[in-house]
Amino acid sequence: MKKRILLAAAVAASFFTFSESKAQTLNDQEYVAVTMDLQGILELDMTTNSQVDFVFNSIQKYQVGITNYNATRLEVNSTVPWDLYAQPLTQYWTQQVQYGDGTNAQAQLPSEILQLQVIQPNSAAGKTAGTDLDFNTFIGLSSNGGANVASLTPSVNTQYLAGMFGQGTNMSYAPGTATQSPLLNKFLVHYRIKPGIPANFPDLTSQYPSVSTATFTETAPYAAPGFYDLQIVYTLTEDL
Amino acid sequence: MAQSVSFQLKASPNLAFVFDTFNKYQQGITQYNALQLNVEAVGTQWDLYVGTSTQTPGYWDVGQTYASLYGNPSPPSDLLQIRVTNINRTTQTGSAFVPVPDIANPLYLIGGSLNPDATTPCATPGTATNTEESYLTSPSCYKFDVDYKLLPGLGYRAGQYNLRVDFWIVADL
Repeated sequence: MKKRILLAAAVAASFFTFSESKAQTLNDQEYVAVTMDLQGILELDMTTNSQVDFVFNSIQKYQVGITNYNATRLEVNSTVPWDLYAQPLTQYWTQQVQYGDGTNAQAQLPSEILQLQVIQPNSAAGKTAGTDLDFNTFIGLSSNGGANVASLTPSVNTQYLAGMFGQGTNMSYAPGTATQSPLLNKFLVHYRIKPGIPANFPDLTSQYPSVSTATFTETAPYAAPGFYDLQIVYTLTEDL
Repeated sequence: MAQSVSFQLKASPNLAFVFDTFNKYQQGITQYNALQLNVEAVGTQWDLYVGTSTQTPGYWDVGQTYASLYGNPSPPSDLLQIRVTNINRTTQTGSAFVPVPDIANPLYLIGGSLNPDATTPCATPGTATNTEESYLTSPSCYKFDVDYKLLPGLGYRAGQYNLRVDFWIVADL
């Protein structure tokens, strides 16, 4: 009987030991799920007046032209690779008022008579000089015969302030802000119009001879005096 | 006497950092008191450590990337910074935000990888308290507030990324 009691006590003791070791919790964990959502942000700010005027009221202005330096200031902030380009809204300037009867004068003036130059120059590494268009020097704003106006998607004939047509790290500008990298994300735009006398825009002849030939014909060899306007559209886009 | 360590987590176990403004990208997002850890240690001193768990150790899991093909698609997980404090400031990281490493090489908030560490009771403010006690009786040493900070900068590909932060408490035997 004593043996049985001892055995029962031993069994009970072993159960007690087992239940005690089961109660031990030597570690514990807690988990937190974290999500990071990096959204693409593109911001284009124009910090200057949105209207630039050219008033040709002297012989000198006709002959030498008028240049408005730093007339437009653009700032780009982007979290994704980006391109910046400019297109005319329309192929031709809109004549609001014509002075005189316009005999033998051309009232349909192409966008290319407006020249732009951008500081800082477009430095996309993938650019090929003469093929990929920019505004690094004064050049007329091309509508490419109406195929490169703001309602249409850019093409190889689009002029880029930054980046170029096509996708790739060497064809775009890297993410950045105007504050952090002003040499790459801030742009100053100069504008020039040089009518000449007669007003057939000599720079148009040198830059876009076919446009010049089509515009200033024998029957309309110079621009009709009048009030014209043209809208320029600057587009900032992700380098898709 | 039974030995056990445990903690409870208060507040949401899911945290979202949404970067939708330049200010957030540049200044980062800080989530204060995002969660609270309540420690209870019975019969043993303890260690507390934290680390991230991802499919590729050391890098965020990519949920989805948005349209862009450019930018670094593999943000390192230690972009996530953490600050763990309690009233007595007993954590070894102090009051600064520190990057959260992979769980394979965790960040010790209390104690260290060597066992056992020196016994440090709660009565010693400013040191890594690791003795047995409970947040119910000594909240100044056993209740931890956790802040998170994330400052991605502009170099990473737009998209949604995920990781898990693991908090471990282990008996320091």
